Amino acid sequence: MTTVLGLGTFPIRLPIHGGQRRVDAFRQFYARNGVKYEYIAVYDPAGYSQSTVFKSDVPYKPCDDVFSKLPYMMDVDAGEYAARDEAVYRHFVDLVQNMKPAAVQLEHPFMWPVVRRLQQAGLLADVPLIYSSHNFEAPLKETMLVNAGISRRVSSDIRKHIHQLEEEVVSRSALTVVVSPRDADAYNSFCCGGPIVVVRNGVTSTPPQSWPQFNKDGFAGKYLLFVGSAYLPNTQGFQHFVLRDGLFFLPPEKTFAVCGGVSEGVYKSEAYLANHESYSRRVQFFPEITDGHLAWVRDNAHVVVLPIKDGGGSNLKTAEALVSGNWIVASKKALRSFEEFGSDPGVLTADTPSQFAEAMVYAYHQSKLELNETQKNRRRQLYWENCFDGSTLSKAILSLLPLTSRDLSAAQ
Amino acid sequence: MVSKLAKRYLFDITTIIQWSGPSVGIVRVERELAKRARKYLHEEVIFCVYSKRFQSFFRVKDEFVQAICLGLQAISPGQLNPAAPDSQAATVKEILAELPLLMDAEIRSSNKNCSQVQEILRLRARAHDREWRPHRETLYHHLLDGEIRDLNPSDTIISVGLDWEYKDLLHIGREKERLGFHYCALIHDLIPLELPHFVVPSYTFLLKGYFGELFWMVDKCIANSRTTMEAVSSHLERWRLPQPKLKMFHLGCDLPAAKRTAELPAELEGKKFALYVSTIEPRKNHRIIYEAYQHAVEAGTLNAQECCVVFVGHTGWNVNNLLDEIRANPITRDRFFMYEAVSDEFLHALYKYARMVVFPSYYEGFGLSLVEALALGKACIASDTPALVEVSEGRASHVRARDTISWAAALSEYFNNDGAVESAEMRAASGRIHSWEAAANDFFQLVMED
Repeated sequence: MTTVLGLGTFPIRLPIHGGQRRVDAFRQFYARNGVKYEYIAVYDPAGYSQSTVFKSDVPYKPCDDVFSKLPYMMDVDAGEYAARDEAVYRHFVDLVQNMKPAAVQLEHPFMWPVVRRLQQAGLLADVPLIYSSHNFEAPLKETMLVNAGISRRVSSDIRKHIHQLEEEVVSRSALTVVVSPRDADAYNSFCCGGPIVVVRNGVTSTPPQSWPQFNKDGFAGKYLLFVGSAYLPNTQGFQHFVLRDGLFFLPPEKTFAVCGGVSEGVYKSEAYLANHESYSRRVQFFPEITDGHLAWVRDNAHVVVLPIKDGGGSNLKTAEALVSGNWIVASKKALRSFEEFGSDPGVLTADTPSQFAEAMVYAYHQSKLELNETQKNRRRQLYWENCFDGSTLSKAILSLLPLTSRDLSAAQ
Repeated sequence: MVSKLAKRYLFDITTIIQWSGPSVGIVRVERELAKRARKYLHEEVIFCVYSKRFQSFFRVKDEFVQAICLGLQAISPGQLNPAAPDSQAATVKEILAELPLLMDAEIRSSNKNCSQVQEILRLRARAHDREWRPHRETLYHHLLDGEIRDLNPSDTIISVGLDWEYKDLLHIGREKERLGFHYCALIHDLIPLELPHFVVPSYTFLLKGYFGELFWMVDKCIANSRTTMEAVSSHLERWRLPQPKLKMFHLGCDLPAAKRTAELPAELEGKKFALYVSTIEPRKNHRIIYEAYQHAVEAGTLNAQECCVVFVGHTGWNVNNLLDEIRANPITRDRFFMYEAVSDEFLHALYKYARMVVFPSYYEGFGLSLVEALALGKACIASDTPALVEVSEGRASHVRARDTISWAAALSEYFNNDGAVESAEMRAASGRIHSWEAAANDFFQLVMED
């Protein structure tokens, strides 16, 4: 069976956050097309337990003198670690030699150093490179570093480094897959490389699983919902758009559910802690929630908020919110690559925290959003399989891969 | 047969019972209203204080109320809210003591073999929405007459003081839901919500939290001006908050009579001076007086040798640079005088001899010292912020708060033109003096209205 080797900096054994879900959706896309996608990660052992990784995944160790000392640079450093540490590099050599991949796919650009070394060693001769971008990383990382208090000079140097990395990856790739037309524009400005295809982020169709505990925790009526991973821009966006004007427009009862890894960052933020007792009556955190329960909580939410301030790419949570058919209050950035839904009924967009707050108040006081069948069907196009299969990706990728008749029949 | 409970008004004097200093600002309002509460609410009033530490109201003995209103009797903050034991052992002991109250049937049954502190903490976390407090102690003080444990739907708590400092509104709100009493609050302004840049940053969250909870639990809001009432109304509308009964009255403006008038300090003798009585902080806009004075002197419209400025008030936040400038600037350093914590006698002397009283504040909920100055028949120049225009009722000159040139012109006019000052004084004296007696009458009528 034709195999594609995928490389990234987080494991996908338990796909929870947006990046993991996108990689997993890619894996399923390949499977539908008779291709095996073997994905290996150099992951942060502090963030993932043994039960969430595969045997071939490699725990990261700090490597580069500069990257390893800066926050949010583990992914950049992981690529260096994979290329520079001889034992880890050998691991990848063995993988390539055993697997004989028909293509190598980079999830994010960060594992490029190890692929470059493998190419230079002649181990990937005639093996096409596919670059699966999740964001235009260079400006995003610079913003994250500046927000974390790193000097502008250092942050700018890091941006230049990552920009160079992305430029090199795009120019060496036979195909680049991006999440939004805006990212495609950015990459198109690079000198050369293969075609660029947009596959925006989508929604995993998970059957909702009723969750009585949610009501026991105090939710008895309308509520707002925010879902996010521990990714820093999620916390920052929530603080900026939601907490700045406060949550006192909500009655002092459970009316705001915050789900996912973002919970801790929100809870520990100054704006939350300053009114922690009052907010605790209104907000309930669900840092760990199963997909089924989350689907149920989302389906029953009155308003889903998407307070994205920084970051590129397209927001997977936006797709999920759109499919849920509830009221949506979104920053303009949160609608990136979903712009055609911006004027849909029930979708309120905001440029500023004040507008965001007013939109939350307005939506909270409306009755449940009702969409007609046409509107619902349009939003169903956002399921992952539709995002992948409805794009030109199949044609582009399959033209790169030498599929056997056995592969093709497996796909059917 | 169910007997109807007697109507009670619980007038909260938590602010003034902890204050023995001069009668200024909100302290003054609480003192003046408390002094007169018995007259208007008769036997239906009882005086009380709230202890955050004990999360409870305590009755104040009637015989001490007048002495408290005069600042002659007080309870220290430490006595009202004694420190709770905070050692780990004491905390665990408290949790253990409280467990039977916290546990519902399910938790109790799962707790049969529970002996580990961690398990207890987990149980406590599960019971998060229950009222949790350390084992019952109580507060003993000779001014107090015990905890008020019988709050009921016939009770109305009247709060006019610094609730955000001294109350746990979350707790009071929960008790209100449980016991059904009523809550009536005097709103002094909405500055923390509408103009947070004029509030000490660390205070903004506290005050946002206070108003955030208040508007979900209050039954009646009495504003100190139409301006404040409209600000409250527009805030409630903007955030679609529940609509309490919303009323307004005006504060009183008669200053307590000083026993004697003090002498002016030597530096002011023979000088004309403009007086500004207010805490020195950015919102009060002292800077415009400094800049207008300098502008007028430089323009030759003001004689610096004979004209001075007096600031009376506590030095607040974010004004050190301004005060340093004033003290260093050759034009102002010998002509601006600042007095803090002055006696009533000294304040009377300053009012008596002041050429004019200025009030250039960017924003006010009421503007007590402006109406006090008008009641004394002083020539007043105030900013045009809505509350000051409202309360001056045409008896002061108004100048835009940010207009240095116009302030310079107004100061020069009043310093140089005796006729203008006389005419302004006549205008000030032409209106009615809204006494604290009248204000209390208005306030308590509104309290008693259904």
